[in-house]
Amino acid sequence: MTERRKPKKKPKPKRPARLYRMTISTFWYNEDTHQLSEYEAHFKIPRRGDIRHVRRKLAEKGLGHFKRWLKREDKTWKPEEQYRKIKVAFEKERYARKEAAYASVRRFVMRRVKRRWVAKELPVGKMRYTKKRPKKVAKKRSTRSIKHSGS
Amino acid sequence: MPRREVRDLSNTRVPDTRLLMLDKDCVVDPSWLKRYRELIKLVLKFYGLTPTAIRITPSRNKGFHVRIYLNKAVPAEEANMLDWLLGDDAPRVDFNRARIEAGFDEWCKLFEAPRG
Repeated sequence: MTERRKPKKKPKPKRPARLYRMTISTFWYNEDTHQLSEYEAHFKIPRRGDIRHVRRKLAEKGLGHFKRWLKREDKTWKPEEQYRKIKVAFEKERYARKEAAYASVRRFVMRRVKRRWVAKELPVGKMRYTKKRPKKVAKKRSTRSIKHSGS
Repeated sequence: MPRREVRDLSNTRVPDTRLLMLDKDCVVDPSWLKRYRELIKLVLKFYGLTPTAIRITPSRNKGFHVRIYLNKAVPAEEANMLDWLLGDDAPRVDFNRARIEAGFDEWCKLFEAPRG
């Protein structure tokens, strides 16, 4: 008897890669400098997948990244104070060629000087989007010394 | 009508743009939008520009987002000035100006909710 071959499953077409652009910002009145300050971080990353899923994950990761960075940058900033709200917003997605594991982050600080906003760019950074894979470490073979008994 | 000359660029780091993006935080009668399109054409003609397409879409919370595609690229500062002339949100214009001065190439931001 001839065995029936199972028909090969067609591979699912990959979702197109899209460029996601997210902005996270917060502002408050700095009582030490007597100035209204606004910190904003612009994230950019090309990813495949469902837009809602990627946006949610990016917002979660971005918020943590932003808070950590802000704590380093401005010592006066305290996340527990509720009035310092953090805003997360997305722009329309564009098509991209391939996806990336890291998001590029451009950061700005805006200050109110003489009734005008003045922006200053801070050092550019990057944020990991995917999880780190644990390194595979080859187990060392236990070497036993075999004694050869002399004849 | 006399045509204005394009100003010299003071900030050469930010690339020129062919797209104007405006945020109108007000819900109006659809017939007003037709008038608004006419106004856009008139204002742009005054500056020697022509819109190749004008797209008006509802925004996330209230009002409209307007995208105007131009026939030629204009400096970022002039694009921001045109945004202000065409009735863009005032604090947004001020923020955009600050971003341009800082050399941020993606200075114009329009935030949108995902489709569906």
